[in-house]
Amino acid sequence: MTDTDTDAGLIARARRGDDEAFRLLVVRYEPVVAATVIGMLGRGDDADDVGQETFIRFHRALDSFREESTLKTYLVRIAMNLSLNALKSRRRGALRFISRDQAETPVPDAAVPAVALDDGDERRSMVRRAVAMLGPRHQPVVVLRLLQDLTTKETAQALGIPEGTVLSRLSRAMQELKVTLAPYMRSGAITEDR
Amino acid sequence: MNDQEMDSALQTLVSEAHDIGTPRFGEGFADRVLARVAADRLATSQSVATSLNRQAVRVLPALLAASIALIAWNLRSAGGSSDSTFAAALGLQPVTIAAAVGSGAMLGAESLQ
Repeated sequence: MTDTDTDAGLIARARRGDDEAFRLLVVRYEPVVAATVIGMLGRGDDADDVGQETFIRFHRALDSFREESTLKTYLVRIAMNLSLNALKSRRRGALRFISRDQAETPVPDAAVPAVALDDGDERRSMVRRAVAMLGPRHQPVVVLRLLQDLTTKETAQALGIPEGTVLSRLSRAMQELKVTLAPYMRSGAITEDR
Repeated sequence: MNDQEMDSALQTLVSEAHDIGTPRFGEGFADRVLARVAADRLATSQSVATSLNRQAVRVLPALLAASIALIAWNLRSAGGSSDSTFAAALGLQPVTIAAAVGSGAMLGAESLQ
C-alpha cells in the first residue's frame, strides 16, 4: 500500500477534488456502512439511500474531518445517526398511514408454538424483528457490538456515549431479548438447526 | 439451559439472524454516490451564483438611486464654480493654490504662512 492508498492519503487527494480517491474510500468503507445501516433498517431502498447520504455527508465534511477518530468510527457514527432518523420517519409514517392494528410490530408471542420457528428464514426474520423492537437506545448497541464486532471502545466512540453506558445498554438489551425469545430458546427451536 | 448457555445461544442467534455475508449495498453503489457528489457540488455552486445574483438585483436599484441623488447634490452645490459639468457631478473642486493651502492638503502649509 503506497502512502496515497492509505486513508489519510486518499482523504488528502479527495480534498483536492480527486473523485477517484473518494471512490476508493467509498468502496473500502461500503461494507462497514452497509453492516450498520442494514443492521438497523434491513435491506431495501431506504438502506441504500441512507448509505449514499452517509458518504455525501462525509464528502461535505472532508475539509473539517480531523483524523482524531478513525474513519471507520466516524462513518459508523454518521450512518447510525442517519439510520435512527430514518427509523423515526418510518415510525411517524406508520402511525400516520397505517391503522393501529397493522402498525403493531409482530411480537414473538409465547402462545405461538415453537414449531412455527423451524423454518430458518422465519426464525431469522423473527429475531430481526425482536432486535428492531429494542428501541433507539439499545438497538444500535446490539448492532455495533454483536453484529459488527466493534469493541466496546469503538462502539462508545461511534455512538458518542461512555463505555460504561455501552455495557449497561448491552446488558439491558440482552435481558429484553432473552425475555422476548425465551419461549423458543427453552423449547430448543432456536438451537436445533445450528 | 443455564444463564450462560442462554447468553451464548442468544448472541449466536442474533448474529446468525443478521448474517448477511460481506454486507454490500446494491450493484454500482460507488457510482451512485459519486453521481450524487457531483450533483451536490453543482447545486452548491449554482446556489452561490443564484444567491449573488439575487443580492445584486436587490441592491442595484438602491445603489442607482443613491448615485443619482449624489450627482444631483454635487451639481447643485457646485453652482458653476467647477471646471466642467462632469467635475461638478463628481463633486471635484477646482484645484488652486489657495484651495490646496486652505484645505491643508499641502504638507507644511502652516509653516509657509
